[in-house]
Amino acid sequence: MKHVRRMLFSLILISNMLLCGCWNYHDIEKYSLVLGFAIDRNEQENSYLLTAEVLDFEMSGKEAKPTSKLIESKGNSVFDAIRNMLKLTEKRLYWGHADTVIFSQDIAKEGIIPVLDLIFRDAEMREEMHVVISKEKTAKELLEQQTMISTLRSTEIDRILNSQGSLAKAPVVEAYELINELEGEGISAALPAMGIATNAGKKTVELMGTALFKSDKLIGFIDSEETKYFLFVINKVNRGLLIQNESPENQMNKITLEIFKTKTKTKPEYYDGKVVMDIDIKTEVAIAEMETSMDYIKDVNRSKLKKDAEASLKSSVKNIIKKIQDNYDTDIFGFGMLVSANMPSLWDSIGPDWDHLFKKLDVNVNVDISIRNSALVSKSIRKESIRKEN
Amino acid sequence: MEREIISTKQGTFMMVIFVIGSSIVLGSSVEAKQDIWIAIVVALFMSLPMLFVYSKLLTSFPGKNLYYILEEVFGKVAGKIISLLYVWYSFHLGALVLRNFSEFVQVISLPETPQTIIIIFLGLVCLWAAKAGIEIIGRWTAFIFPVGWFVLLITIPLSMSKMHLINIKPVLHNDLKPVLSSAFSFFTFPFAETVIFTTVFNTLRNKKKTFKVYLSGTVVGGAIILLLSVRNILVLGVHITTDLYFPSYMAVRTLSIGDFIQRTEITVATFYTIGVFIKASVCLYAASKGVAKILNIEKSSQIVAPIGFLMMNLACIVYSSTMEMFDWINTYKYYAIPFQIIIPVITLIIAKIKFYVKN
Repeated sequence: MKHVRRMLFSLILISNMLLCGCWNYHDIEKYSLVLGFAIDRNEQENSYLLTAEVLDFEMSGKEAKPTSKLIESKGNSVFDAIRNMLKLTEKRLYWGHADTVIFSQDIAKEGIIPVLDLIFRDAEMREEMHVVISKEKTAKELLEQQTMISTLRSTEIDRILNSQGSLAKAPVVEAYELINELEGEGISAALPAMGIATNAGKKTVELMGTALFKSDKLIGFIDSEETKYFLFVINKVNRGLLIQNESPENQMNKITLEIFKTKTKTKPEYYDGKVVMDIDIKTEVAIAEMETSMDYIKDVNRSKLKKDAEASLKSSVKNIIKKIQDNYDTDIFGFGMLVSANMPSLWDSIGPDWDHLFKKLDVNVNVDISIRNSALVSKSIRKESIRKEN
Repeated sequence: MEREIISTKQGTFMMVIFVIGSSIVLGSSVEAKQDIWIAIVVALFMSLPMLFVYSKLLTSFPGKNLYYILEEVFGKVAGKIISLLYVWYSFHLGALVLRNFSEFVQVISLPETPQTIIIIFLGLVCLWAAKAGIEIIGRWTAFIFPVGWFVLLITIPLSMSKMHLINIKPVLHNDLKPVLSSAFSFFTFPFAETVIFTTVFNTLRNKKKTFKVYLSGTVVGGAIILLLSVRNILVLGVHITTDLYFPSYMAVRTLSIGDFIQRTEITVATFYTIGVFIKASVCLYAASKGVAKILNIEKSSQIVAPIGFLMMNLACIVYSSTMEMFDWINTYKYYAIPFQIIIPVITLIIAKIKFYVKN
């Protein structure tokens, strides 16, 4: 009898626990996954317009094909806009898989900290989200464009950013890195910019260089080519191409070098009352394309090519630093941060004045390019007669 | 009195998990900023003499736990009063640990679930473990530890690609004062919390190795905390690390290798659960040992259940918000001084004097 009573008691206890229901019971069918979202600002109403791309499935034959839908919603704060989406959908949205967020230029010009807060604070949204600035009028336009290969717009944007490893034409910044740059001293943020381009008659989204920030406000853009040299300075280049004119007179024939390995070491130096940045770029390249009859594989010509490439990389890097100093005056290279890390006591005295100093900062650039190989071919394509001439 | 015996290995592992327990997730002290690693090393050195005191206490009275020693040294009445203080300390600490865990769960994943439920479920397991005795806890630790530390430390090489050495510079440029203050925080939480083991380690099989167990447990635990803290700073940077409530969780969250190793933060949460379970169980065990000794109850396992339920109650009401919890962590370092430093040192001195007078 005692046994039965004990059994009964534990049964009641267990079913109490199992049947009382759960608070955070999440049914996957009741959720839609958000892939990415765009935030715009409505000036007149002083509200945010949030556009989320939501994963959807389309039956084609027997297979389900992933597609996406856009949901727009307004709100007084970003979170308000997110919750207001429940006015439109039966399903709650799940934000843990969103990997791209696009800010409009308006928001970026006003300051991105207010909209970043939710991404940082919310437990569901992830800090490694990619942040993109829209070069168009609104941010949601980008999500409305057609995709190229993937069927999901945000996923494709995310993949484009991830493949910058072999192109090096946009800084890839995750939300937490951005916050670190915004909070840190002696560094300004730079984010990838995207805009609408026409590809084979259809509009689609393209990377268009870098958006420059001063504190948390957008102040300008630089194009993709300049971005590459900017990435050289901050040591974010993995792979990429260097294109070399054969000579200043001959702009037609170009030699393309593919970067295989590159490393930039930046060191601040302090000479008689002035800070100088020493930038050392060591690059390993291979000859990937030669549009010329000149044999650059030969020893003498190769060292000429090496010298030319070094000189042009050096001047390009110097130019971009100069341009940023003159036109934008924002330390996106993090030179100030390097000074504060390596010469903390000097930084204490010059730190407050850094904005002023950055503009006149001297930069030494040293470039060392070594040519590793020339792919499959040991010569250039040319007539036998020219071959004898060389 | 029931006789329980734990091996040196079990004792060490228990200590390591106890030390890492809640510190792995809570960003305990932020004052030192990028010099946090110096603070932890200093704290480890600061705790060495205290570890010596704790183990000396135990080896002076082989086979006896702290409550027995207190009565022996201070006499029946005073000893019982001081014992009561230690009962409170371990009881309170256990409750705090449970509450830390439930706050963590609520903040990161279950915002709508009442914390009471989380506390009850984990508390029941702790209660069960403490009732089964230190032997069972020890054996369980020896079983889970090898898996646990591997999972915990594997995240460090995996996040290597996201580390930036510049985050830890400049070294010691800010004043030494915040570093020392941080070091003291680390000393009281978690290193000197091992004072609770003075009520447990009388069960060690090899009494001579008490100090060795204390030392290796704290040093290994400290080293793991050191590695994880440095990892957090290197990955997230100083600003974010100091902004966050749970930096370790976030640092692992950013980790992704290819498309297949990602969202690994659950490993941190899992290890934290293990740590909290061990820590709360040991605290509960220590508290019920003390109550049994004060009230002259033969079997301490009889009173584990009521104390355990009281502990869960205290855990539910001890803070009203997450902010309050993190405020308390700053106050805790002063609150813990008598339990961790003053009473053990005085006890040891009086015990030694009495010993010499007797001879």
